[in-house]
Amino acid sequence: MTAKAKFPQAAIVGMGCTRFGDLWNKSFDDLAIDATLAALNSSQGLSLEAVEAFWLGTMYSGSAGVSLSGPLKLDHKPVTRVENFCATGTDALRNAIFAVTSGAYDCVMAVGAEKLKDASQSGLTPPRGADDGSSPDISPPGMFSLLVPAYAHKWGMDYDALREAMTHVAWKNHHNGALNSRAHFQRELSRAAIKAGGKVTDDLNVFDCSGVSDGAAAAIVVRAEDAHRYTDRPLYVHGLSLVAGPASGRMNPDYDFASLPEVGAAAQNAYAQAGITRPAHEIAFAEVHDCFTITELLLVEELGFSASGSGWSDMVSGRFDLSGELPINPDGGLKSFGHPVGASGLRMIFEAWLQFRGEAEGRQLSNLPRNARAISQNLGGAPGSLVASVAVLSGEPKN
Amino acid sequence: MKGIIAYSMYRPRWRLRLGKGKAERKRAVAGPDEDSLTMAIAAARAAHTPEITVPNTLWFGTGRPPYGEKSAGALALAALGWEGSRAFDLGGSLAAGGAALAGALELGDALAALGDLRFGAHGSSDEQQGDDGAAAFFTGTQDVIAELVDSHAISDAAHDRWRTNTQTSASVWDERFALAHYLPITQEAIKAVAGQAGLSPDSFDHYVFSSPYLRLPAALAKTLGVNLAGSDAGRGYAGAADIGLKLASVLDAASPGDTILAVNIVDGIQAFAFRVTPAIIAYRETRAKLLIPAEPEAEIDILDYLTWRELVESDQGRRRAIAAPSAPGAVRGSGWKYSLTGARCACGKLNLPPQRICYSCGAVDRMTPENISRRKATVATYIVDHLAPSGRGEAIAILDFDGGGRIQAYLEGDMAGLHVGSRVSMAFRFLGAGANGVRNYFWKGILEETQP
Repeated sequence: MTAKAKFPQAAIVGMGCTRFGDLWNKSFDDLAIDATLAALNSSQGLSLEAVEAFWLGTMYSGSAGVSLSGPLKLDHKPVTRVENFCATGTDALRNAIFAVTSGAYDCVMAVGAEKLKDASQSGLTPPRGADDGSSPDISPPGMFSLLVPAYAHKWGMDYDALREAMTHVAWKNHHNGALNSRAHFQRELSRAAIKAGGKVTDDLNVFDCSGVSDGAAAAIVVRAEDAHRYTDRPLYVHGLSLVAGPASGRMNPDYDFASLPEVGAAAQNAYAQAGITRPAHEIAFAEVHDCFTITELLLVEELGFSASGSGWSDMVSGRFDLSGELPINPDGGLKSFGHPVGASGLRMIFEAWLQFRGEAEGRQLSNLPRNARAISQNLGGAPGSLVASVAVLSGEPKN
Repeated sequence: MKGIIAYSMYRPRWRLRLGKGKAERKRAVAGPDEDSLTMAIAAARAAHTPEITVPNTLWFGTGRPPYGEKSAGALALAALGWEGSRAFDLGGSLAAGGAALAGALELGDALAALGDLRFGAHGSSDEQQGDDGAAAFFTGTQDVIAELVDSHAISDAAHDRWRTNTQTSASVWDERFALAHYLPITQEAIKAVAGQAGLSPDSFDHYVFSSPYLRLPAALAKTLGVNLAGSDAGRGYAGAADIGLKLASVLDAASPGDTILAVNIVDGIQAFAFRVTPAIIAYRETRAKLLIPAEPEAEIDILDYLTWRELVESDQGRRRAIAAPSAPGAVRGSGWKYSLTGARCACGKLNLPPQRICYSCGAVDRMTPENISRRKATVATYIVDHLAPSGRGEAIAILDFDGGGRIQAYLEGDMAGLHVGSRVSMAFRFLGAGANGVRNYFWKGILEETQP
């Protein structure tokens, strides 16, 4: 695998994000309209007519371009529906970036939207085409719960220590989400309450799992050099890598289920694109894909914030808390903000948009210079078979 | 000389305690992932030592076939990887087990695979006196371990018991009628088979009497003046598999030269006279080495039992539905789905399920089929998933096979000892049925009792 260090420079000049949650009175169309209008309103003087092309990220709630062109009543414009598991939102943005940096368009939009709560079943149903029935029908928490015994075994940990670290992830992200008026779950949880959650798998309880939510987010994308025509405070994308792994972790005995190599590969690419060599020191804050608490412990290792095997101890030390040295998921993450699948990648980027503009409510990071760099890390699939992305974001263009 | 050349039995691990005081017994219960087919396959695999060549014909006998219309025997052949053999299904009657054994013995070069489940309305005698299980007998003319000295059959049309296709429970006309009806014709058949064997009815070393009427064997033994005591004391009636389970128990204890009278008394009589040969000693030793370790017995309660047999309606919560396998998909991958045959790349890596492009070296279409159904594996990591569509907490593990290769598979066994490093062997099981009735079969890892 070779890292491609070149990434065409683009900027986000408008963003919107709905509240996430059990939005019984909002349809998919409402959510897509609300996020789109919020993005347009965030950037002065931009009308829907000025947006030349659209990428709609949704996994379960819509199909084809008409799912967006219909509610927005777009007048014969190009709209592409994007689906890449839970990394759908980031991939919609990635394709939008290529559209403007190729010169095909000047101003485009990525919209991620998901309406999950109109279905009555609990949890998500992983997409599964008709097949020979030979692979187990494993729930998403089950897929990631496989990481728990493997991580504990690899590092010779006892379960109590790992449980404590997982509890810290949930505690931290709920603490942050309580400071976010858009979050699905806006309340802090005690460590005791987190540990007492009902079991979803033997090793993960409900408080180890992200929320299943409705919601939408949208970003208006232009070439980096054009950004100041639209806003005085754009968000620049210094690098964005998306990889689909060979999906061989469930057939290759060399994969240890205590790492997420697809994320490591995406991070290497994105860091090379952005010129980052010491991520633990050069990244000001990170939004990561905490679909389950155990995932976040492995992510901080794959992203180079912690050495292999020490993600859990760094987590417990408070280093990734809102007041810590490298805040992770200041907006509450999937855990507390919620997880409307197709919107989540854009929701992560929305936090960088707010933070660099100084609009992040009670969780605003102090002394965050506009030339600081943040990352958003989004993944989908199952350990052993992931798509993963990492984006490097900043308030200033890459020099 | 023709006769039995290999045999084994399969008793599921689950036990249900029934009755009180002296009448208390523990019956064997097939798990929710088992049926007459999977148990018969388990018995056949346990009997099949490397010396036994693949037989020409499989006779599947059951009173509870997994499907109407569709052959279960053909599924058994696919699971056993016997593509060149043919399957004869004898289904829907309790006499099917004895008939399958008779067919396999008379035609030779065959496997008689018998499997059955006994249940009915809650409180029925089939629930109370039943057992679930399976037995398998390979027949042939070389290295015979129990020579068929003679057999004798009488068909009988009395409708002493019956069950329509839509009924859960069997009906019995009157057990006293059945006893009065069967006793004389059984004696007639025994006299015939003993005479041709040059023995008197009371001079056999072992007696196997199988009947849905539990008082009948004792009554017969009394008229013959022989002792029925043996390892089957306290066992219930296992339907079409019953004659096989009882015969296999006797063969486990028999010595060379012993004579066995085995009589299946249901819808007529099927009587066999066997003489055990010295070859049984070596066979039992070889079989013990390959035997898949038995799962530890575990007790369930009556509600588990009724739930598993779908005799009570269970809340399905807000779970996702069980997905049915695609028929063309199963055909395309039949070597994998049914017989657990993977593909080894020229580079040496085992690709499971078979891939066209090797996960390790990237070579294209350089694969050789390799069956792993008899291979043991080690648990690399695991979960117990409480969101499984089945509504039960399902254990799922990443299994690394001895000799290479990895799969993700369901587990069965005593989960209390489950850990990274647990050892498993593979078994063909029923994973659940889709809304269209298609039954999904695949291989599960069965945890070994002993820790490595």
